[in-house]
Amino acid sequence: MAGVVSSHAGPQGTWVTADREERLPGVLATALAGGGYGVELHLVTEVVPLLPLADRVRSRVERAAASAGLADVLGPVDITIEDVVTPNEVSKR
Amino acid sequence: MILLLRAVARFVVLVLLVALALVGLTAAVFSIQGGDSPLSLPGLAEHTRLPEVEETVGDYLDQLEADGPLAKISALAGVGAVLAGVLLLLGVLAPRRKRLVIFDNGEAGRLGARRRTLAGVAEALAEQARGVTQARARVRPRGRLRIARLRVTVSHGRNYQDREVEERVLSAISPLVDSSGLTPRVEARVGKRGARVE
Repeated sequence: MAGVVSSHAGPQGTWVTADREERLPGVLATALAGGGYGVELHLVTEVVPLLPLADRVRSRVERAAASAGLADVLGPVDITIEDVVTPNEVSKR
Repeated sequence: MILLLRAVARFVVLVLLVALALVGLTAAVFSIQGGDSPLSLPGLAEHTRLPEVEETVGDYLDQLEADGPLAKISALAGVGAVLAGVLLLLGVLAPRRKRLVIFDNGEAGRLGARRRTLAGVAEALAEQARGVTQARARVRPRGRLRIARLRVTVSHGRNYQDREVEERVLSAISPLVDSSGLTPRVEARVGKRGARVE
């Protein structure tokens, strides 16, 4: 997604969710007390407007949940920007 | 200061927990037998010379009740202990600094960014401005409002004016400010003698 450089698994590498045979770094899904699941995303982004970026990320998560038949159980999508990289750093990566 | 108090409070808690565990272990071991056996509580009292301690403490309490230097010293020590307790409570109870700047917190979810990350980017962008030799940035949440403040302090050479450097830095950090909604404040000053040059 434009503006998102990568996800971030945290300093200890513990922000990871296992999805069948795949590991999703920087993604946490938590069961909510009132039902459903909250999603927490830890991202590294470029220097882009963060609020519109967050809206785009949430829209994509909602679409993915809907296509998997999980739209009803999707709770809030919390986004934490763990690092912001400048264009120079993006090109180095 | 709060960081120091927090570290001291954690150390004290660790020491007290270890001491409590050792006392508990000792009491458990000396509860294995009863009566006057070696591994009994009376045996433990003998090992720790409790009767002698009782006499010593009794003498001390007698002197404490009477007027004299010991009573004054003890009163001062009591006041010191109360102050130390209050400081330790501050270390335990004082709120932690928020590491996240929250930009948005609605039903759809929360959007936040690390303060250190934002400050680091601001420094990197500010140092790209012409004339800047060094930049320091701090991000502070402003109370309960969502907008946080970004304060950038830059040093520059003597051949530049403060005002023009501040404008250049504001322009340099504008991508970050526009993207995050931070309220910027830039201060420029001539670098100290011997500081890094452009």
